[in-house]
Amino acid sequence: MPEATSAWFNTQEYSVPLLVLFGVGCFGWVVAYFAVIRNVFRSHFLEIPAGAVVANIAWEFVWGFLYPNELGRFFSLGYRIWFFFDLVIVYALFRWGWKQVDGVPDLVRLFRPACAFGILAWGVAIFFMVGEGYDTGYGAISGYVLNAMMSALYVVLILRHHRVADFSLLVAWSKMLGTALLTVFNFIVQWENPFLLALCTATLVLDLVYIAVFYRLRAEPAADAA
Amino acid sequence: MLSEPLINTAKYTPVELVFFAMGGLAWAVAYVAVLREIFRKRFVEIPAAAVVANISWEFTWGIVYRTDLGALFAWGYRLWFVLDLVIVWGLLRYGAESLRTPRMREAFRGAAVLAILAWSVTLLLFVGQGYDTTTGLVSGYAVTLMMSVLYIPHFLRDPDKSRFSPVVAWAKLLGNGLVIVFCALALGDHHLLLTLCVTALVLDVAYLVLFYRHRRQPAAGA
Repeated sequence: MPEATSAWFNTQEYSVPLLVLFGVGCFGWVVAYFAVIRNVFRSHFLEIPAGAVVANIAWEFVWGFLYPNELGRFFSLGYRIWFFFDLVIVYALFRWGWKQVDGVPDLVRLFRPACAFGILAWGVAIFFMVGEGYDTGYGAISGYVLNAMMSALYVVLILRHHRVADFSLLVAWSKMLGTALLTVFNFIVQWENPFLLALCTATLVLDLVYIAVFYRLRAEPAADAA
Repeated sequence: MLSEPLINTAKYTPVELVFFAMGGLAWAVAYVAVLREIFRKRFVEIPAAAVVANISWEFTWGIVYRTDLGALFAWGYRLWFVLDLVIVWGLLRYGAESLRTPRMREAFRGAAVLAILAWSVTLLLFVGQGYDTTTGLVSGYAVTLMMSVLYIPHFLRDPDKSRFSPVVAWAKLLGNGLVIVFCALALGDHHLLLTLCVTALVLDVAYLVLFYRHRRQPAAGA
């Protein structure tokens, strides 16, 4: 169970540069969320894989509202802001997310109930994961389990989808940079937790693969017509 | 190690051990049915991402770490590993043919090998840091849950649903169901594990329902 702190910034346990590093990493994700939301209302295609969206909102609910953040109250507030951003993404998931499985009528039919079930199941699982001591005091392990899954699914989704233009380069870079900065933070703070560092490394590798795939698909002349 | 009992009745009750053993046997039946289909139809029905995670788990818990259920169960985990080695061979041999996205076929084998490596490292560290139960069930059910999730889209996306086996559908449901009873009896205070178990069970039942719905409507997936 994470330790509650009354400080806005826990400078007793974390140095100011470390907290800034973490904050900038989180900001990378805010940029990614902004870009995802802007694009989904323009193109009506949600680029974050559905499996990652349902896990993300559950994580933000659990860590934003149910457990304290040992980095300080400012970061709990930040997680709540992510949660409200992500609510818009969840709205888009229920509205247009089915396009990720377009062409498979059975999956389209199951899509919305499956998403609702996914949010519930992830919420309960993350709640117990934190409560039973599997996580760090700021949600890094559960967060990186989701992050690794998202990064893997992104690669599959862009390869499967027939329009590269539905995916944003800004999202590709900002999520990679956001994750990379948080990975550096974890390598400094959690160096004695190789399991977490393995998740961080796998996520970063997958994010880089995604960017490489993105550029390669964009360079193909018939990329959007395939 | 020499004093390890064949079955650990000091820590687990006979009822718990019987449920685990029956669940393990049901999984072995599922694996054999998957193997039969690989050789008959040149098709691996287990989703690729689940195959790579499975073999890594079996390597971690069958070869590197040892369950405290007793020597019989330790050898059972190794039997799973050996059966799964053949499934991995099937995946590398035929897995790419099932993909309908040419771009994914190109990188399939390399990605599968790298994924086995990544999963193995991650699971070894997870267990090494003491996150797992002494039977490997937290990591095991994380992997199983992923398989149960992926089976549904994998099945629904496939235009030829006759390639999927009812024996596998039933055996994996029974395997999970029986091991879940073990979890509830022996590890009832482990809420994360029970959440993973129940979610996997719900998804296995959902898969079975979808499976039979499509068998009744043979033209639906065509």
